[in-house]
Amino acid sequence: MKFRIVAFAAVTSIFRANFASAGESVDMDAVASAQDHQLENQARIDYAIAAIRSDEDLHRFLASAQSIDSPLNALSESSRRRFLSSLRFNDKGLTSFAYADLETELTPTQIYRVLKLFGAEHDAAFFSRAHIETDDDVKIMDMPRTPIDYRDYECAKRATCTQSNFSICTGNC
Amino acid sequence: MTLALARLLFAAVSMLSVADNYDDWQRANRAALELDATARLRYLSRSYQRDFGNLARVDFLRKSTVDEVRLVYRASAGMTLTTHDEKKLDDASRAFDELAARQALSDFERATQYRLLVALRHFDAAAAFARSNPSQRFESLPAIDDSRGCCTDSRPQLLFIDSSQRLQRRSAPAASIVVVAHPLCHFTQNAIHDIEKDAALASALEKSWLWIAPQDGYLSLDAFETWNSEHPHARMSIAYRQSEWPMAAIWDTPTFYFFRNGAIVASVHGWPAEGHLAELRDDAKKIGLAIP
Repeated sequence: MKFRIVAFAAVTSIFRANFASAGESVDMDAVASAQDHQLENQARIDYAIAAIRSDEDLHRFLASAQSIDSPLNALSESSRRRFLSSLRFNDKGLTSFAYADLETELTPTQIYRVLKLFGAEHDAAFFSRAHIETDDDVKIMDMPRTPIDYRDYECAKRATCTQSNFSICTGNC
Repeated sequence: MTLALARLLFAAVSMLSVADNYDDWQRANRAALELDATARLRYLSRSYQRDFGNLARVDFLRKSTVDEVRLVYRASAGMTLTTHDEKKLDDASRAFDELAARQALSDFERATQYRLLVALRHFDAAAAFARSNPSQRFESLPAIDDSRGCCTDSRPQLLFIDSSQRLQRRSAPAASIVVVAHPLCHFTQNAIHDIEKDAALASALEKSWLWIAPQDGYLSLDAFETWNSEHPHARMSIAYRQSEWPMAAIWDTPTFYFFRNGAIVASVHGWPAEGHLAELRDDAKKIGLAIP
């Protein structure tokens, strides 16, 4: 996780340096666009290589020995059940999930660990109401927000976001 | 006497099943996504009434556990944001007040309550709520010209965003194409990029279209300002109240509505990787636009 944050800062610096050397002044719109592109690519990689990308993966994971030490266990039993039943997948991976229980019960680091199972760890910074306890929590909240996931929407139809409160609609929709 | 007994029995059963009711409610929300948007709203209203219609009462809330009150709050807040109905806001506010009385409010609930007030356009109440919760980081409210005398005609109203992050409530201009969109929606961004690459189509549509974002509790003015500076021919405003618009039920983003004589004659939904440029061309022709 620390590597990811440092890596992002390094990429940002490289972009800034490249754009600065291309002309007299830095085109901040171009820098922001390049950063968004980088964030989008990273998010797509996260989803593509996630441990859980389908209902079948989820059932397999929950039945496996891995689930004994799962980050999901940080949630209370009822919240865990509600969170798991909110997950929706398509052939690219996670398309939407409910976040109210995560934000109410977990720290940003715990949320990051839960979402990493599904490749959605880049969304941890969305949850600004989560209880902050450690320096890592602060760093997670400072992470740039991904430009492809959309808060309070859900993936109802392909390439469409439908209002659905306390859900995230991911760029996999 | 019979009514009192029935109420007592109902309360006893409900006390045991708020979590079950919430699960039902969550399932209903999921099932509703499979319905067309008009049916979706009707189905959700019925489901809410069944699962929570009698739970957001003061007498019931006082007898409930904190976790139960939280679930009642979450359901009624979600329904408030879906329907923009003042009665649902009353339900949510009763549950919120009960949590406050027990000093059990989480930051999530405080943030949500602020969002409800903004979504239902109670801007003064939202500002007062923010002042009474100084430790919270709410999205700051911009200067809003919300004067009631702004709109004397019967046209739907919009919150226009000017370049100095001020919002102005105004009547919407006439438009034969209404695009429901949001600057933070990835598919909306893909749509405008594809349309702008097709200069002939963009030029034909931009004279007739109006881009509007759904009624929501986040104003996200920075995102709108960025959008409006990047896409000056597709400037986006925010719906003041969704119910004022002819396509009241369907606010998925992006959706393109084509109007003739005030009626919707065609619509294009979503923006997949392959785009919908051909459909936009065809539908624009249906309303008499000359598309090269």
